[in-house]
Amino acid sequence: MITNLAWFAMMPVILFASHSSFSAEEQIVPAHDEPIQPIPIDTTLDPDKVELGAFLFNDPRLSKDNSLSCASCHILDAGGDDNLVTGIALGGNRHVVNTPTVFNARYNFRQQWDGAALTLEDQVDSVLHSHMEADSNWVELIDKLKADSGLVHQFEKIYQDGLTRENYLDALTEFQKSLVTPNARFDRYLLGDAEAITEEEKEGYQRFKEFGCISCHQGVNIGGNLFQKFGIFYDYLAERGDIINADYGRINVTNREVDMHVFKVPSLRNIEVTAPYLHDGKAASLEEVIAIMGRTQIGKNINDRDIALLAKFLRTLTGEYNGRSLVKTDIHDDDNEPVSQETELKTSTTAAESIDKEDS
Amino acid sequence: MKQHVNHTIGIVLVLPLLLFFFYKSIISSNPYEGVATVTDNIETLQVKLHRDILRYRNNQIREYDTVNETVRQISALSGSISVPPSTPENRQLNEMLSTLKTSISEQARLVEDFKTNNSVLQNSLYYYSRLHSEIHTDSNAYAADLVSDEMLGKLSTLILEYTRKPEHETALKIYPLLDKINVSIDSELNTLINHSLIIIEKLPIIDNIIDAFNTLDIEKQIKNIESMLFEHKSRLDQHARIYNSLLFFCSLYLLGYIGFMFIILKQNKNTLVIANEKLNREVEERTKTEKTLYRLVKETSSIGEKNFIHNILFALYRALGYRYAYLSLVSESNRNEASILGLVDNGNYQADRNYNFENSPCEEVLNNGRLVLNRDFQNYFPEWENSYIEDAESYIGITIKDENERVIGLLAVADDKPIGNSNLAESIMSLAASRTSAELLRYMAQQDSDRYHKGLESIDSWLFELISSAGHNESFYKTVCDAARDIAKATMAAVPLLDDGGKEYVFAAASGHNSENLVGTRHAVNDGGLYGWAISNKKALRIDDVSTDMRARRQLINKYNLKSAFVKPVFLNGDIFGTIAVFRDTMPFDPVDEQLINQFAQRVQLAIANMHLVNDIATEKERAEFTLHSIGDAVITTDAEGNIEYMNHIAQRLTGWAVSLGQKQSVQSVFRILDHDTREPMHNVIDACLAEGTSVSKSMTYLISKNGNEKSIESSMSPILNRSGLIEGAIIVFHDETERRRMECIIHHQATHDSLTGLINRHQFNIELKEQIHHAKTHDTKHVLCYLDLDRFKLVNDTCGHAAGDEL
Repeated sequence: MITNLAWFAMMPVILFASHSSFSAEEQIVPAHDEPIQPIPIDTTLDPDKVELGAFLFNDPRLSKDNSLSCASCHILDAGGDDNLVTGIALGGNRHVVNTPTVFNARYNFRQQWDGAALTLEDQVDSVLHSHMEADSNWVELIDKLKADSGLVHQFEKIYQDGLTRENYLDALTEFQKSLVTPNARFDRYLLGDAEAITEEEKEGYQRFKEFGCISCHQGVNIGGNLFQKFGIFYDYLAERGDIINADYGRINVTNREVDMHVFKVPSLRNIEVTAPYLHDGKAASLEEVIAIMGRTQIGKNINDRDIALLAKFLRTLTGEYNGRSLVKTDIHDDDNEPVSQETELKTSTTAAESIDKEDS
Repeated sequence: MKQHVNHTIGIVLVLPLLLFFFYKSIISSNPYEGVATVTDNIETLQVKLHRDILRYRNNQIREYDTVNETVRQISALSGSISVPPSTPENRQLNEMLSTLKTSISEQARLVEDFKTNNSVLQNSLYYYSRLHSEIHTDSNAYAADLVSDEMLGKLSTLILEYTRKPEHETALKIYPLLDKINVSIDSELNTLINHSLIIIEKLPIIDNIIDAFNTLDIEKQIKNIESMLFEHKSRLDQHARIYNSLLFFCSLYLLGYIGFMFIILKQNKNTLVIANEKLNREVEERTKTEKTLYRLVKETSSIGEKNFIHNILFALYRALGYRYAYLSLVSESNRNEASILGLVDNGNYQADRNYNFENSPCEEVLNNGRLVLNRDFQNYFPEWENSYIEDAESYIGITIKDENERVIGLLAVADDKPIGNSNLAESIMSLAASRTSAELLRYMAQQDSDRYHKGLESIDSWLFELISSAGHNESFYKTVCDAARDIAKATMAAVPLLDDGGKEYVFAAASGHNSENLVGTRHAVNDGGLYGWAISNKKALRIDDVSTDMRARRQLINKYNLKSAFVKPVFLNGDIFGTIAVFRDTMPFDPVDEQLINQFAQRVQLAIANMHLVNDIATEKERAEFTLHSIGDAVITTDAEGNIEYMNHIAQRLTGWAVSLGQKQSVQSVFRILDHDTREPMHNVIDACLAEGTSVSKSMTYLISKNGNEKSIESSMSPILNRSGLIEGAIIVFHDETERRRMECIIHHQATHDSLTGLINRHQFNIELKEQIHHAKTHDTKHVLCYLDLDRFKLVNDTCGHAAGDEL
């Protein structure tokens, strides 16, 4: 309600347009009748829980051998992912898919590339049980953590029943909900600051809409709210070859033929800092992935100029975390050489092959 | 009984009421209510979803957050929905709900497919619409040389038609066109073809999805569920209504019952209040009465009778607040007269007024026990000369009775105003009267006692005169007569004494009413008069009214104007001696007078007895002294101090002292004795006799006479003990033994000595021998026995006779 009033004070137009009856947490504010909405401000988070969640996020006891924490792959300083082609896995192995960013994950309607996890909690649960990730279970984890009297005390301070599976999830989820990146230049533009983005970037946005990218990449998270087949007009995976189980996409979850090669449309927010791209991490640069998307999803060979414009637009989607704008970092990947800037679709898949059998 | 029934009904109805409340709680937590709310919300969201889907289909919404949110909410809502499977209806409902849940998850999947397909379709349609507009604006843009505008127009028309109605026939028309276009590998045309194919492919899919969506018909399911819920709910509501109405009636009854109880309580309370007030009044009156009584008791307990009357009247005056209060005592002698012992008039106190209560209210009171006149007091007693409660308007009087229910007086109060409620006054008066009765009796007893004691004092004062006049008969009886008159407060008194023969009596004294001429006159005892009666019957005679008594009338009427008489016989040594008679003019004698005269008569008896006794003692004494005088032994008597009281003439002769009576002469100075052997004075013997009461007999003592002669005497001294064993003196009896002792010495010598030789005789010799042997044995001494024989002396005696022997 307070938030409503704040909005009302700030932007009567928005309020008028929205006829909002959603809760503050879920408030989605359409701006200028655009299919993209800025990140709403959530003031309902519990700072204590967020703090505790942050500790849990960085706690390697999550994994069976105490080697990996959430933060091992979701490096907040590196855009919420690991900047690797595929993430690192237990025992020095490699994951089968590219690590999605943890930023703004709360605005995704499902988690993981194939949408196997419906909620953030499911996502944690999935990570905990995954052979590649934590390879543990709740009993083991909670027992392990209960030995830590300090942590138990922290839990008891916040939760009446102390350290439990539910409270662990609650704290960690609360922290994840705090991992949002508002105040991107494009958001500011959407909120009425016409000068927030350049003319070229506006042109890029125009292309984004005209070319039909907007058909799938829309909403608050500019994606992340529907499934789509990867390769509508062009079979990228066939061209790439070396198909592994993970490449089948959502069919692994639903067992429906129509879900073959269907993936969750990923969010485009902070895309500038979350390279490499695609579920297999094979697209190293923005231009590369734009080109692939053009061919596979909208059946269009986008020319270099438009690619540049689109890339410019996409770079306006980089938001701020803890008041600082996310920045692009390069992490050297020994096993997976960063893919060159050139459009090189055929890249080494040896790593993926090597762990293919492990994929469930 | 009715009350009990009502209580029972009340309690019986409270139980179902509680039961109803219990059920009410169940009803209020209607399980269908929550489900209905959820289904209601789901319905709203479902309608929104349905509407949104159609809007997505028409490309009115271009982002999927909205639909995602709606689907999420529907899923969340449907996840929690269920009813307890307690009844078959609920199980059926749960089946419907689980079907609904299945449908909703199916619908969620359809929505996913819809989004996936719709996003692509919309993109293609958008492409086409853009293409269409470009064709119209700039036909060259799409390689017009390769594809004719006509063909493009035809294609777009067909696509449009297909868009409106995605029928296979239309699609079949499009495919050849696309084949024609697909002559080139031109990318733009390829895109066109691809999008067309997408449209042809996706439109039926979308329509199928929407058909499937519609087939699911979740709205209808919800409707069914809701109608069923409504059915259940209304059934429950109906029950609830019944419960509620029952509850209402029960509450109504309970309220009525409470009201009824309230009224009952109120009534009871009122009754209680009235009773309480009554009680309070009673208590107040009681308290007032008790206070009064307390005051009466307190104020009268310690003080004299005058004060008592004063106090009780003032207490009544204060307690009742009436103007007058008085206490009357009915005269003993005249029952028509009374004396006001005390009267309080407006706080002023008067005492001791005699009045005649004929025609007065007092008469009414005394006759009837009590009189209460609340008003018009004066009109009731017109003939009464009212002098002390003149202004009285109202009157309450009550009699005072003694323990024998004899009326002794009355207590009355009067006021110059009419009295409203006389109950309190009467009760207080009753209590005061009973209290006063006791006090009055005490008062009267006290008065009698006082009179009695005064009489006794008077008797005592007369006694001296009686004693002092004893010895002289005439003056003694005159005194008796005067004393009797004084003591008995009599106007006349007479003392007739029985004459020696017992046949006649003679007046020894008389006084009052010129009766002195009676003195000395003689009358026969059996003259039928009251004196003669008293003497012959040896009984006291009391006559309250002499005119009614024959005995009295005979002797008194027409001679003396007397009213009453009392004749008390006087005895001497158990025999009738005479009488004392007293007479009064008006008052009769009462028991106190009787007692006083009795007492007086006793004294007189004593005096007479004493008088006779004194005469006897004088005679006796003379005789004793004569005896002592004539006795052969000397006699000395002493008092306790050892002074000589009496000594006979032999004692005087032996001692040489002549002691006259009344002369204090110590016995030691007269009776001087010495021990025969030691010649020591022996005065301590007399002292011991006087001090310790020991009788001593002494012989072998010497008496030294006044002139120094010694005489051997034998004496005995004995204490004189009175009846209680105390020593009053000593008596010493002694006689001269000088001659006898001399004779005794001679006889003794003759017995132990031979008359011829003057030597001790054989008998004495044996005694001496025994003594000496005994002495030798005990004192370890030696004695010598010399035996001297006169040869043949016996022969002398035998031959020549004893006379010769003696001669020899």
